[in-house]
Amino acid sequence: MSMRHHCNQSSRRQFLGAMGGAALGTALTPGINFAQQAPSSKVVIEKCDNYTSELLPTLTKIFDQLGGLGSMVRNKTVAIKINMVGGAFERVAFKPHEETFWTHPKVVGAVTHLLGKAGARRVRILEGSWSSSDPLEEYMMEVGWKPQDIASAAKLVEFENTNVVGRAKGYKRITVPDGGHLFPGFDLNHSYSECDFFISIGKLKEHATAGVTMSIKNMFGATPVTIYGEGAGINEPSTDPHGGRGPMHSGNRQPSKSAPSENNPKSPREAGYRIPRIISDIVAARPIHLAMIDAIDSITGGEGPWNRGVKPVHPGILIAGLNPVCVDAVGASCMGFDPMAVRGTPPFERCDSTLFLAEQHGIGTRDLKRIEVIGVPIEKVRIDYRQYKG
Amino acid sequence: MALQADWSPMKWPKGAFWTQPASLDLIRGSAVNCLLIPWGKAENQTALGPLVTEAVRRGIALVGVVEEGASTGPAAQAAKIAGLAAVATAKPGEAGGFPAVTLAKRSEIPSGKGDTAVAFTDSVWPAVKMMRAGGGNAAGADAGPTGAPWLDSNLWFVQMAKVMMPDRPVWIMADPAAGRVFTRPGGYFIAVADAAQAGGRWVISLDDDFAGGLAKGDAKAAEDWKRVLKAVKFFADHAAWSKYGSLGLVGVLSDFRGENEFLATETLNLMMRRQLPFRAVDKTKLAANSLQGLKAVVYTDEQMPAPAMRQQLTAFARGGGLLICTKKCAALAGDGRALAADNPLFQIHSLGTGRIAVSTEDSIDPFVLAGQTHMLLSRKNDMYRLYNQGSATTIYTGSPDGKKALLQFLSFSAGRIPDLGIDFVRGYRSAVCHMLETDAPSTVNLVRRESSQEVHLPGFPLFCAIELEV
Repeated sequence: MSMRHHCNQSSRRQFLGAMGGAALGTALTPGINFAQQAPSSKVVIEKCDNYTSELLPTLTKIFDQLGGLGSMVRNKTVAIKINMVGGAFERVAFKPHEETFWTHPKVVGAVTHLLGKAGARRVRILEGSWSSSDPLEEYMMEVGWKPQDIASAAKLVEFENTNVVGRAKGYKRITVPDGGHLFPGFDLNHSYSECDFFISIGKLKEHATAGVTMSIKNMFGATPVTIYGEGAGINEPSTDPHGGRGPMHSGNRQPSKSAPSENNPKSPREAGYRIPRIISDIVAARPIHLAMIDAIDSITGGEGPWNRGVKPVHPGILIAGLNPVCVDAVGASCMGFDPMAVRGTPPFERCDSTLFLAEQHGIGTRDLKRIEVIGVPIEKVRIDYRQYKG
Repeated sequence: MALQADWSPMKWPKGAFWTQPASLDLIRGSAVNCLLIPWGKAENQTALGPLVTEAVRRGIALVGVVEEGASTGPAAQAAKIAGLAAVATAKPGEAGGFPAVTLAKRSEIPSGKGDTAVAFTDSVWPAVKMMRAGGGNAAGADAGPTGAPWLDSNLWFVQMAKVMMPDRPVWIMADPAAGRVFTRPGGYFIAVADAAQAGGRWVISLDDDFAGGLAKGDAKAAEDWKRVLKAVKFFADHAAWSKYGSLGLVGVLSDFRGENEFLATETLNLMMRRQLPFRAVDKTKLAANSLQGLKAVVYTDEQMPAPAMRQQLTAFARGGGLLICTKKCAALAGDGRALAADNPLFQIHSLGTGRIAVSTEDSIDPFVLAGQTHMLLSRKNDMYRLYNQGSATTIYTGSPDGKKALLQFLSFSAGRIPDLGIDFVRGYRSAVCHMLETDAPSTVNLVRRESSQEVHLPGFPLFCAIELEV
């Protein structure tokens, strides 16, 4: 099955051509206004106060505003990367994971249902189970979710723990078309390439290392720890996942030799430099066709309970669009941040902007002046995360 | 004198102070009612004479430890004359009929009948296992195969030993390990609770600093000691809990001895680390109702079971149970129908309404076995879930009359994380929480979730016992 690129890719190719092959990996190239030239796509914001009665009608409305799912997914294999960062054992106070920092299973179920209704041939739910080769369904059950509800939402639903090789015989390589900021390619679970339509559903959160995390940063979890984690094999992927993705943060070791190594192992060994580049490289190599942000319930102050001072927050919205940079730029603004911000300014005080780096790849613009927002205006739903007192 | 199941033993420290009768004031009015004193050498017996006299006068049970190399017979005779309650020896048969606590290694659980305590001398000091990281000076936690810090705990062993010798008290002998990082009194609380929550007893053993501080009358040491004694009393007061049986749905069936010991015991250990409640089942005592209430049985031994046991195991599977066995016992699945292979580690057979999973590996790793057992059974059968627990062990038991359940939680984490949540799948009418240092249990709310009930514990307890009314 070949990976089909979304229509945005044509404008992306035009963008890269226009840039004259401006070398990535060279510092943030001065003199080129990427924001003005990267592709743009409309973004929908809709209010949705709960995960019950309002969810399905709101999602239906959102997808209709994006042109309808049917034309996008009919007879296709759809893969959805959800966000279950960290471990099942840790949560924000007494709140369930899904009401704070994980994609809500009701959102996953409702999207799956609508995909099935729109004619998707198969829906695969993807995430790496924390430090374990356990099936993804088992990981979901660890927090009391009922994966059977998701499984029964469409005709053919599969789950894949993408920290391991899964149903395939080996990992599949994806390559960054322009060579990559940090990595020229990645070896991932087969499900990331063996799909016709790819969705990322993130959460509306700040991030300790990357400033913000939404649909793009969500893709960091696609990297199998068997290749990119502390317990990765030196030459080949390990068979069992151990630990997290520390080496991707610190650069203290290279991935398993079987996978592409860094373009420049002498580049800064600093998480604030590395992580935004790695994420934007992944999204350049594995285009996101539909970017979604579950912002009904979330947290401020970080990406998970391991960050000090995180607080539950209820933005009560869903955000979606066909371009992840545009969607995340709108999401950043909904959190009170300027998506055009650069390193040293909120929310990128200690890191480079993933949005800018993704924009450099030609994936999409982060310039709100070029993004059509439909549904509810940003100003009506914005919650200043930094000022939020809970 | 018959050895008492309710003894709370302590290894009496060495040193001049501790030979004085007045040192016994340190346990006055406490639950510590049994002292282990060195008894193999005549000079020790002489030096401890005044202490022994006073202890006997106070009604404290004394157990003379016959050290390696010393003769049990003469020591037992001297003990009888001095009024000791028992000796502790690796050769109890040589005590000449005088009561003897058996000193044993964990691999040598006595199989004979008896009601005297067995003290396991190679028990572990319960703690997060620390190691020197990266060859430098910084000490770090040693990660286990789960990626989480490895815990040294005796909990699984006490559970197993209680099954193998149900009438004999299980004593855990482990000294505060030299060079091991532990806090005082927190490390002592862990040692007490680690053994006691499953019905065993840690033989209290003080580190040199603690014993020295008490000898000198140091205020901090005295305060810590008071708190340790309170922890000991807590479990003495709740001795009835040791009669509770495991509510685990997974049975591990073995004789737990000889060549079968490693796989069987490590599987128990790793199930404990997974928070997968288990029931150890001694195959030498397998009764008709031994598998009752279980959803899965893991037969870890490599010898084909005798025909009667084989029949019982296959009947268990036919009736809807999951039977897991080693490759050498593949014949157990003889009557089953092999299912399409979707698990490289096990060939699954259907039998009746149940399944038999046969390892495809000649030698199965206990970590894999514990994990695969959990997955083959599925987490949908998990009985409770823990959140924000850090590094901890749990034990889930039920009263003999079935009216109460008990979840005991012991934290090994140095840093305290707030907001511990325990999510019970089974519905309970009410819950109370017992803490080590509080005198009375407190009522806790059962917070309803979609299909479960959660107990929320504000503040992070080192130990808590949630008593649930069915």
